[in-house]
Amino acid sequence: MSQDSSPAGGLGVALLGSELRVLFRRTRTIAMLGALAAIPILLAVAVRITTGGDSGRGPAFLGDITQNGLFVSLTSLVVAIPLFLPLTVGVVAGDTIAGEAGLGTLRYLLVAPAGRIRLLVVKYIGAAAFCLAGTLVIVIFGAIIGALLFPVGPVTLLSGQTVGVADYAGRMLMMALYVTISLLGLSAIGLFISTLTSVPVGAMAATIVLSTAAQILGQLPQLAFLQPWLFTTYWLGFADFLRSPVSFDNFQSNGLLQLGYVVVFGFLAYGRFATKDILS
Amino acid sequence: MKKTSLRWIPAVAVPAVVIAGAVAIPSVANADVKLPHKSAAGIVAFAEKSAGTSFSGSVTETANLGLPDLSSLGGAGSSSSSSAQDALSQLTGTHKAKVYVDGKTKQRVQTLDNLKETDVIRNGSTVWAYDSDKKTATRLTLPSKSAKLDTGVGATPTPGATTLTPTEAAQKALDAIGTYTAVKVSDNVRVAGQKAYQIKLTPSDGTTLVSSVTLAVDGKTGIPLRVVVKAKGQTDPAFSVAFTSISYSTPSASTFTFTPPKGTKVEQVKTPARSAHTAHPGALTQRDAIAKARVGAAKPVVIGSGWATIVGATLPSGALSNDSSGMLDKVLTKVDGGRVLQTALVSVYLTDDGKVYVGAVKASALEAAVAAQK
Repeated sequence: MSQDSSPAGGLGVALLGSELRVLFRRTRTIAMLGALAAIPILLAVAVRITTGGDSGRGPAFLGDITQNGLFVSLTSLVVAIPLFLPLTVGVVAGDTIAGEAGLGTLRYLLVAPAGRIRLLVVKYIGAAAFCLAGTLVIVIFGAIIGALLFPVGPVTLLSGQTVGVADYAGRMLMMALYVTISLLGLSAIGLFISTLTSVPVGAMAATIVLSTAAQILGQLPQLAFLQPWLFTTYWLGFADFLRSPVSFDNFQSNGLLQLGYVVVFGFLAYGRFATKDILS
Repeated sequence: MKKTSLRWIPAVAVPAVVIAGAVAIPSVANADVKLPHKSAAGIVAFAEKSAGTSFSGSVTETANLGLPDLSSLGGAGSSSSSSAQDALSQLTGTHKAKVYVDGKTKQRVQTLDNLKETDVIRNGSTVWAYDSDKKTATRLTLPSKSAKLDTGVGATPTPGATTLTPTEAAQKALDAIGTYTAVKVSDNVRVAGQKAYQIKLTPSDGTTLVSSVTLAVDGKTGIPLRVVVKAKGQTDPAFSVAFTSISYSTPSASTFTFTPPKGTKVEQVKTPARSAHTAHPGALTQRDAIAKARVGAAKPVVIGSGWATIVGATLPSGALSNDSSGMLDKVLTKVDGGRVLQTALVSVYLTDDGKVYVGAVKASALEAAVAAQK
């Protein structure tokens, strides 16, 4: 919105900088990141104050938290991926174009010699940056609160090997990267939906509904043939970084799948946005 | 207006190409694979010779037995499951695994499920089974005699075949199955990026539920790359195990070392001297051996021969009573004298007096054969 001093040949760097500043200074964005940070905090506090034995229920790794605080980030990721992360990403991605249109600022953005493609790319990078920020917030706050409330020590991997804290931190960062990549397809869908309407709430809701619908479709055995093509298929595959040796199969398949979604919906968004009459 | 529609061209063309490519590439990959000609016996000999080859690869197993998919019922997080439930969920849906083999005595099968993993690691005469979800480790010491036997992915060990050349052994194996089975060479395929021979085994026995078994054998190394089992009256394969990628470099030694982590329940099991021996593509034999060892030394009953063979065993007391969720009741049908489970490929008959009979025949045939025994 506060885009001004972009020189014609500035490759959109200035535009990107201003987009990121606007995005991360927004009260809404900060509130959403705060809500994401609250997941590990609530989880860790709840586990700390209820000392009852593990009944074998609840999300994966929940029972491991009392022995090792480093599992807080992991459990929080398991909890956040199906709902909270897509929810926040849907809000940001759905708002990209429709938000500017709704506020009536879209035509001013396009009056400046930014170009529609460049604006679209900058908006998408902004949404992707939010995916990374959201994931990192969960991981980092999870690590901090876990270290404060529980003992921290070497971590047992899924394969039964034990690794040191430094090794585990590296794996955790790879997991954050994996989750970020997992959300890129959803962001592209949100961007496309956002070009269809000038009502941002509609675009946000549609994106979030799609992410839930895709997860439901993935649960139905009757629709097993669809599963390799759903953008949610590999969402829980991040635990591959807790294996020894680390398996990169899901990482590859997920990367390829998300790239497919980004290309398909990126070009559809371009087609819609480049031909659209901007009235607001 | 014209300009507007022109602008849509790249926006529609690129997604169309991406989608068409994603759908078309897998089917193009199988076009015309050329390999030097081999007879069915030659292909079996070739597969036998591959024992001891070092490799690692990813495997996908799909079971489509007409059972409800229980793997999704369990959910990603729940960690409470009985062994009966485990066995059932292994029989439904798709499972991914990694297989590592170094020579004849080091093998590892790593089953990759969402957020959990089970490992079976064999290093010499020690076999470890680890379950990340239950946090249990089982240590099995193989008797020194069977430690020499190959139980790996390479080939099915043929007892007494040590003095024969692989070709003779293959011929013997083919002769043996020849009485029950028609063996035919079918078109070469590409599996996991490798050119592979294919042979198709068709049971000549009319009573079995198995319609055909197709093996794909790597054209370069002879390692079986894919096994597809089809059931009668079902077009989709009832069961298939296939490599999705394979590498012929020796896996690092650390892949085969295992020390139970802190907080793990460790169980020690001694094997009976006779090693388990099944028609599975090898990868499953170690798990079977452990399962058998757990069941105890009760000698199984064998009824019939060939593909319609029925195997019976006595269940350890309490094996079914801890099925808290009633999962078994959901898939079993009550009949006279027990309960049966009919799948596309095998039938299971649980008698009320604690015996279990399994066979690749119809449930009614299974009941009749068991009744005739008494």
